[in-house]
Amino acid sequence: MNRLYANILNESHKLYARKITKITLLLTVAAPVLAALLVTSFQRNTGIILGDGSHFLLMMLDLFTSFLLPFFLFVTIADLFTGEAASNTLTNVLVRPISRTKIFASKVAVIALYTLFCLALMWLGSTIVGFFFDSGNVFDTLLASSASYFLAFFPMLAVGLIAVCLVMWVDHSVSALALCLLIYTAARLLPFFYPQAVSWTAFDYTDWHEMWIGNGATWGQLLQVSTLLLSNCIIGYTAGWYRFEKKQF
Amino acid sequence: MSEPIVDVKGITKIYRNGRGLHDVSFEVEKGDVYGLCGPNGAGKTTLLKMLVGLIFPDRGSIRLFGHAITDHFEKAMEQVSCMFESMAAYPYLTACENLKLAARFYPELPKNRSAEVLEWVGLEPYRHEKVADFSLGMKRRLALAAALLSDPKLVILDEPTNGLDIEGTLQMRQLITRLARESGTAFLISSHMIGEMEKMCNRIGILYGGRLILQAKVNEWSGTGRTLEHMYMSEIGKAQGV
Repeated sequence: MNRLYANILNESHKLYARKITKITLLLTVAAPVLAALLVTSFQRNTGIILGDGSHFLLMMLDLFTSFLLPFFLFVTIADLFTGEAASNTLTNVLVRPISRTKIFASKVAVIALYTLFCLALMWLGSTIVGFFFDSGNVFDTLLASSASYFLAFFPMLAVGLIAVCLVMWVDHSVSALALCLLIYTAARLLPFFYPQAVSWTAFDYTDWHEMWIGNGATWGQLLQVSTLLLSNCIIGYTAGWYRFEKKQF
Repeated sequence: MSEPIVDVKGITKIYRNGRGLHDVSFEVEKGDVYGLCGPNGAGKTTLLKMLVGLIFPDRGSIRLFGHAITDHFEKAMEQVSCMFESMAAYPYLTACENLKLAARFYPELPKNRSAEVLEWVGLEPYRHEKVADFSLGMKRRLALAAALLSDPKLVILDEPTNGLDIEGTLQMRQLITRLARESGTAFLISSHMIGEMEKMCNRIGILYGGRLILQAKVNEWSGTGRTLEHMYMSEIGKAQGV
């Protein structure tokens, strides 16, 4: 078996066995149900209609990619890199016949798979819950909603790779999580005070899917943001890999 | 003459506090049980960690089975296993699952290999228990099982008897002696248990202040009435200028 593939299996096995992963997946499924209950209660009490089933799917995606998924990603990444190094379990892999480049690549691959899985789970949960809001509308927009959820993967991957790079600079998983949350919050708030900052990081494009689906963005704008996301991915991966390669344990 | 399994030439590593290793060179041959002794902070763990690429030397070269670990890490590590005092198994997995993760890197291993090594270290009845519930001694036994899983030709053990009871220490010594004799596995062991080292090893290196101050074969002094403890104290005394 190829060693890269072997370690992807190992990392997936470990990720699935962790309690925190099960909790994040459970929350991913529970979030649409909780949100639906809140929206229904709000509509019933105020008489204000917030939207139909298709709106609910996009609202959930916005909520998920702005807050929940980045948080889940930071927790997972902090645990996968810094947590394992701090608990001395990372050494188990480092002393096996597999290069650090492959270990790093396999961990990133598992983070990407986890992101995709979370998005797919959220889409499924939201679609089922959205069906109870307005079944006709949900089925009419099934293709558009699945495309939106798929497109959301790319900015989330960029966010994840920047986080991978950040956690390489700290020695404890709690500090790693705190650092990621701090930088993410700062990056999200900075454009309110300094509008040019919006073009710096992928953190401000977690709603990238909206540019593609019915927002009327020009090809030029799409290309510009796609390039920004790609460059963030490359910088995050390369800087993270370099730091991982040079780290002494 | 065949190439040594471990070939270390002039490795130097200086930490910010000035401690580290200075120009250390040694070789380990097939079937050798090489014991590394020295006081705390002498650089034993640093040296062993350098051999498997966990710490990088400032100068010098390390070759395992003829492959430089800096250039051909995967090839060099194919027949090497190790167990460090600081290494920990995944606590949320069972003993069996921990070994399964390690076994994925060695596809040629027979299916019952995990059970076999767990049997060797006396953990077979606990194979489906989570490591979080293990005692320190059981964790050390599992680490040894993980080190022997791949049928390595070189095993590096850092303080292997720490946390083990008398029975466990005896079993480990018997296992090491048997594997070295029967399958030619080489062992490189660091320990403070001088009595155990003398019984297990055929070669001894004494590390003091980051320098390898003595390398000798155990049979060189075994007939003289002197013990490793005498040798050790005498060499450390000389190094301290006493």
